[in-house]
Amino acid sequence: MAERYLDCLGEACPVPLVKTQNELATMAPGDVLVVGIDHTCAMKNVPDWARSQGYNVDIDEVGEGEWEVVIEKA
Amino acid sequence: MDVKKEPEVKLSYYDTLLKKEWSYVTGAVLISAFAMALNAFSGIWGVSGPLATWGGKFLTLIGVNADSWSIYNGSLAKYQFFGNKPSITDIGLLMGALIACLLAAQWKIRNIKHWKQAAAAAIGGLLMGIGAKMANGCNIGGLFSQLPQFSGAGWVFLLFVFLGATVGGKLLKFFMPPASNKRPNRKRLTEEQRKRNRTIQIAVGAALLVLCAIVAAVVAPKYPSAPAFILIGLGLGYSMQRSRFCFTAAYRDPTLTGETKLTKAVIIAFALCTVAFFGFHISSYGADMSKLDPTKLPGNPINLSLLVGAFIFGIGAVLAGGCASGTFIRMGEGYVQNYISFVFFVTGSTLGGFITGGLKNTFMVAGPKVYLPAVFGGYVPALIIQLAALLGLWVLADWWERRKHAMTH
Repeated sequence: MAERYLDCLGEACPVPLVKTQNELATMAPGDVLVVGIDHTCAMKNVPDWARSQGYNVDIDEVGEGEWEVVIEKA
Repeated sequence: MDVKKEPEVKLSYYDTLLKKEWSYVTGAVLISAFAMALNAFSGIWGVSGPLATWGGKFLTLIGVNADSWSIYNGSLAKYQFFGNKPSITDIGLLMGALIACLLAAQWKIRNIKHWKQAAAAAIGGLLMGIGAKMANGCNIGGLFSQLPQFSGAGWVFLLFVFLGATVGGKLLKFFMPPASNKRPNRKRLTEEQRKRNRTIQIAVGAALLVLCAIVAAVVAPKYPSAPAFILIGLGLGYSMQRSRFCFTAAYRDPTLTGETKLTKAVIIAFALCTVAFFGFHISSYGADMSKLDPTKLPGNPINLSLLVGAFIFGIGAVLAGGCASGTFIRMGEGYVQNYISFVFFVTGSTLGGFITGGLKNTFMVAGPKVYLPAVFGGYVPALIIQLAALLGLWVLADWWERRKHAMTH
């Protein structure tokens, strides 16, 4: 059960989602990826995509307009 | 860390009213409603048009006599911000998004972290400026306000902007900051400090809203239409920010990430506006088109300049991280990358003015207007065919996302 952080702060769509997809592809089921995001669109499309993959997702607003999206690969 | 299925959190009134993001479909419905209100009031919505004028105004400001150039031809001296519809709605988009972001307490300066982002924004902005000039409009004027008014040029724009975005998606990897797994060491605020920041943001948002109302009241006597444009611009900006609506993502994401949720929402917006234009055009031109002057068909002509322009625009919008409307929205939200792309968008629009000036009367701009009701012999067949085509695209988009999801498993 590895946990990894992915820094997507300051990055615009579609970069955060592309990076998240690439990162998760190298991870095993049960692993957790925490994606740091401050793009308002990416805080919607990254969790949307992850949920549609059947992964568990949690969004934490860690600061004003800054989120950590926690994805558990299924 | 244990990730639980999200518990059913009951949202507070504040979260529901001002913070929680809306669905894409909610965005599609509201954006269509505002765009059609604008249309009923004074013609179609456009975004990229004023940028070349702003470029010329800036040159005048630094002492260049741009107004004597053939592309401006004295129009700069006559330009008045509050007398120019798209100028008002553009700044309205920015202000609406800024206010939405502040009221949600999510505003911050979003800085770039790598020079590659600045390069992408500059190249993308330049390409968008030139492309929008050549194609007679951006995602809004060339597509969202074009396709639903039964203009064949809208469909052609859609095809070529999609091809451009696909190329842009391939180029994007050269501009992506390298992946980093290091958590930046950011200072976290205490609950108390965050509460205070939230209050400040909401207060500033409310103050800006009042300021917009005051501006509308002040300019109203001289510019009677301006208050309506301000209201609609703010409404569009607020709705786009709150629903995270993005026209570029609609044709960028299917090939890049396999996502089509925004594609489907944009198709819904097209369908809603198609029905509205069906009504507008029948009331303007008569159900039998008897009041339609065949030399003054609605919409843009289809020509090589449109094909090239839409293609270039598609590449630019993907690299820059937002089209024209998206750039204004994200400037409101505080994205440094989009301010860079804006400067180059203005530059590109000004350059584009020279390019389109040079193309005048050449084969590049030779081509007819294709007005679908004239092609299909009436408004009802045109409506049915256009809605059927949109439904076909929707089904295709839906199938595409399912297929992509099945492939990754």
